[in-house]
Amino acid sequence: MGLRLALGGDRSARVRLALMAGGVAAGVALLLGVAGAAPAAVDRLATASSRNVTYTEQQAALTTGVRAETSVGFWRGEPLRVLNVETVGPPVTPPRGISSLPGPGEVLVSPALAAALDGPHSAELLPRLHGKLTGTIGDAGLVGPDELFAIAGVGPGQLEGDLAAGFPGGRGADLKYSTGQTAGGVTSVTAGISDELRAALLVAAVGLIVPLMVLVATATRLSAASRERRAAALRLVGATARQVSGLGAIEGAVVGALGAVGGVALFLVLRAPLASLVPVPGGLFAADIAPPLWAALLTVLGVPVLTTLAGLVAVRRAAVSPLDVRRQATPPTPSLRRLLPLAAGLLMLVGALANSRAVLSGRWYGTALLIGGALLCLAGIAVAGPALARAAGIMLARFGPGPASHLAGKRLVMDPAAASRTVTGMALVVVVVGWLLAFLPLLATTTPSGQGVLVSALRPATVVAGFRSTAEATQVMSKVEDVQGAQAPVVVREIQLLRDGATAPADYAPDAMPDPSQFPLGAVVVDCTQLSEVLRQPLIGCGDSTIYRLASSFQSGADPLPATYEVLDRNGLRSSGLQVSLPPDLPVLQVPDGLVQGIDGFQLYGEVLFTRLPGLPERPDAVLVGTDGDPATIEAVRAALGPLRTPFPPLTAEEATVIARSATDGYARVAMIGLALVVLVGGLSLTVTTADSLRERRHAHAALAAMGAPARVLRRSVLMQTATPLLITVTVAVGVSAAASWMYLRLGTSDGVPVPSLPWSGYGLIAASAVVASLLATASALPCVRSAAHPDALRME
Amino acid sequence: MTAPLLSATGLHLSFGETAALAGASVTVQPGEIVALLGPSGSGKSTLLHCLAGILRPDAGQVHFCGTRIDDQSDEQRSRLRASSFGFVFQFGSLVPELSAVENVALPLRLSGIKRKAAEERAHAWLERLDVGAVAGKRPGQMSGGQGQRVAVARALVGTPRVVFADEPTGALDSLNGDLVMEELVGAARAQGTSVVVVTHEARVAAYADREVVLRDGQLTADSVLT
Repeated sequence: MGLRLALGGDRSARVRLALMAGGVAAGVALLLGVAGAAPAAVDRLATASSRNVTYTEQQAALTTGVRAETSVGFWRGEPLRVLNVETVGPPVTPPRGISSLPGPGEVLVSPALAAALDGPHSAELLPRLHGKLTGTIGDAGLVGPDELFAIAGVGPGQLEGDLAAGFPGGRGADLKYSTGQTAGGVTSVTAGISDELRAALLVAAVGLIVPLMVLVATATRLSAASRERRAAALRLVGATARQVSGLGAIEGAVVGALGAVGGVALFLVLRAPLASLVPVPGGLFAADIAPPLWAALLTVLGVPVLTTLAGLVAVRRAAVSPLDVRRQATPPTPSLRRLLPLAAGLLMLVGALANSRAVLSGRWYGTALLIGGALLCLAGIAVAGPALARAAGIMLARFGPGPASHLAGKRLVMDPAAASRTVTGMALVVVVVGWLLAFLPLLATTTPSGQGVLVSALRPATVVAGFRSTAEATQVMSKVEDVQGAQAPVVVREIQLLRDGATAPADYAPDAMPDPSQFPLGAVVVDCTQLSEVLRQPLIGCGDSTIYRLASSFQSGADPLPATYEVLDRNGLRSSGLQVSLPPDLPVLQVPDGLVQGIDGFQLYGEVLFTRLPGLPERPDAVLVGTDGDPATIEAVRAALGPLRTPFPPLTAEEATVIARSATDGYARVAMIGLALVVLVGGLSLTVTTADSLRERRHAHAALAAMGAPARVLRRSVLMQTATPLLITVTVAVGVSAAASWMYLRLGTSDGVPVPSLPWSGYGLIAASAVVASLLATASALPCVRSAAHPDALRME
Repeated sequence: MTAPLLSATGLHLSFGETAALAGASVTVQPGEIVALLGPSGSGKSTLLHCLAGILRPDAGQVHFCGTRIDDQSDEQRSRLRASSFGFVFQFGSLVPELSAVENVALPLRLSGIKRKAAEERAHAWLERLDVGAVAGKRPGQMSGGQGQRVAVARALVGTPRVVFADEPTGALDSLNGDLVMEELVGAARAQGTSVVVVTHEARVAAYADREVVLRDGQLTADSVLT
């Protein structure tokens, strides 16, 4: 009989079943998507990070295996990576995606790179690959479908480098899993994954799952009142409480089963569009979005269990007190005790702040306060919902103008649980996304600094590149000078100055602590007039002098001591054979902070600047090349700078800014996508539940219409029933999110460092999105008011 | 003979292929109590809804105070119902979340009267109909008879010209049914309100001044009761 009641009935009953199952299916599909996307993104981002291989002396000593080095660069704003490989000895097992490693002069490319090589700008790309195209790399060997990646075979001696990452021969060298230490700063120009982003993705996934579960539960509550009355009628004619409960459970199980099957089908259809939304450089393959088996089973089996329980709960009042249901007796009033979990959650976060040492050192009670407080805050919003809705209703009924607000307020007072169910999902999204946004400034302070600041100092489209070796630099400089549209390169050389009598760093005793006053001075050699030409503002103080004291916000401005100094190389390890004398009262050259913070591969850092230093080898450590902004010019400069065998690839400050912000941008994008998805699903759910609620209450509405209540009064009343609890609950949610975020930020900020300010505009955007979406969703159901108030309803109880 | 307060001429109305009214005509005089009788499906409630301006007939005319109302817009007919008509339905149709006094005050509030003044008048009517004790209770907390008397108070509080009652005693026992009809008819006569009551019970029809019998959407009898 339970199946007959669940599956049978008239057209409206079947429509209701379809809507409920559809709502559950949407929730299941999104849950599977979130469960699959988060680990997929983490896995692919880790793959991208693992490509950062640099050549080492130990690699040079290999007799079997693979020597490898990653060259990283950009092409028209997109990262371009080339993994240069040299097989030593017998052939090794190739990495995923290819059948064999390329030999010298051979290049395998990703499909996206192959497409670019077939395009109109192939002339910019071909010189950078140094070989003949012999094949493409399969999906299994790529980070994402849009990745520009190549594996190039090189001959003996063509690789060089200075850190270790060898591949022992004879063991299938899986280049994907190679782990190489990278030179400091390489991660800032490659799309790696930070711990913060990994944590953010997982928090986003968990944070989105909770509202989705709320939405699934809402879907199962369609027509709850009429189903409850039906159950009461069955009880009154003799069914036992157990039988009635069983019927409710069967109905819930049917909805859950249909929803789970539909949800899996919907997930498979939506996988590809979802893959394009996940912010992974190079995109994400649709097949990657595969939730772990345990998560898939938990979702597909767990959701029907939840809907079955929801079905049981839906008829419990009828099973226990059928007469109360018949009489439409008032449900119990939600007490203020419902606010206790929320208060407890906030108190726990205060406790975490008070025990910050325990939290930061990972003590169990510190972690419990931090995580437990967060979870209680989330649960507290949901539990407090009915109390907040009732309070909203009391205020609306008492102070609202006109009969519409009186009707709406009284409705909220009588059944606040129904009103809060529809808005709780939105409120939870506001809390979670607010948390994620608040961490953006903290994330920004932990990412490698400077990349975003250099763009404020340099003229747009100025290419910056660093060099490792003299041979490399000499080779390319003349080519750069020949590029049309490019200015003469500004050459920067870095040196160190060792004061007469001081111990050279190369001679420091292994365990000795050198006197800081003995440390060499940092210095740069660059023509300040030429340098001014690539800056947004000319350098202040650049004149006829050949030696300057460098000054910026980062340097104390203490005068370098007038003395004689020996000129060492940039690392302070080798002498150039030159000596210089610094006079007293050096003129000050004020440099922009962005130049000092610089970019990996280039920093104008030091105490002294020489415009020229006769006798110093012409060996640039970095160059700045101004361009006319044409992408073709920028690519020509990059091509002229030679093969991508520099640790710090040629890129513009704008590109560096994109890299620096990629983690935070990806993080923010995850938050916004999550917000949009859940708001969309929540809005649809709200439309359906509003229309259903109108149908459930058609008798009362028909009587009001018959009495002469204008339709606009009824529509206004329906809108206020959503708007009022929504505004109050979202306001509380913003407050909770802000309070919790401030405490987390305070915990994560060192003493003496200002706590990043909260993103109030972001909170406003999130709250406004949730409110507007909810009101639009409710309004879309208002045309049903007229049909719901049809006089036919007056004939029926 | 005075001009009728309310009149319907040659009304036709179909729901799909089912003809609910097939040329029904009826008049109601000021202060008159008219009972519409007939078996189930005869078109009694449909005729009542057309007279009240809730439904628009497919053909025919309805006049109230000499003004045609069947061709008015939905908003005009809503305003007319709010200002000049009252309603009592079989199942009360009280708003479940409002208390008795708030339900009775609702028509006054819909016509723009402030809450305090509206509820004062509502209290007076509840006392008059001997249900003052349930003023603060919600419909779910009242008996059926009490609920219907609250519905009668709601129908009369705005001093309407006509009260339309659709099976007002259908869900009540005979004792409570008699109580409700006595209150309704007594209060209506006291303020000169006409009443059109749909019923299939002769006992209820006995309270009327005139009986109109419908069958298959047409009037078959129209007699004055002595």
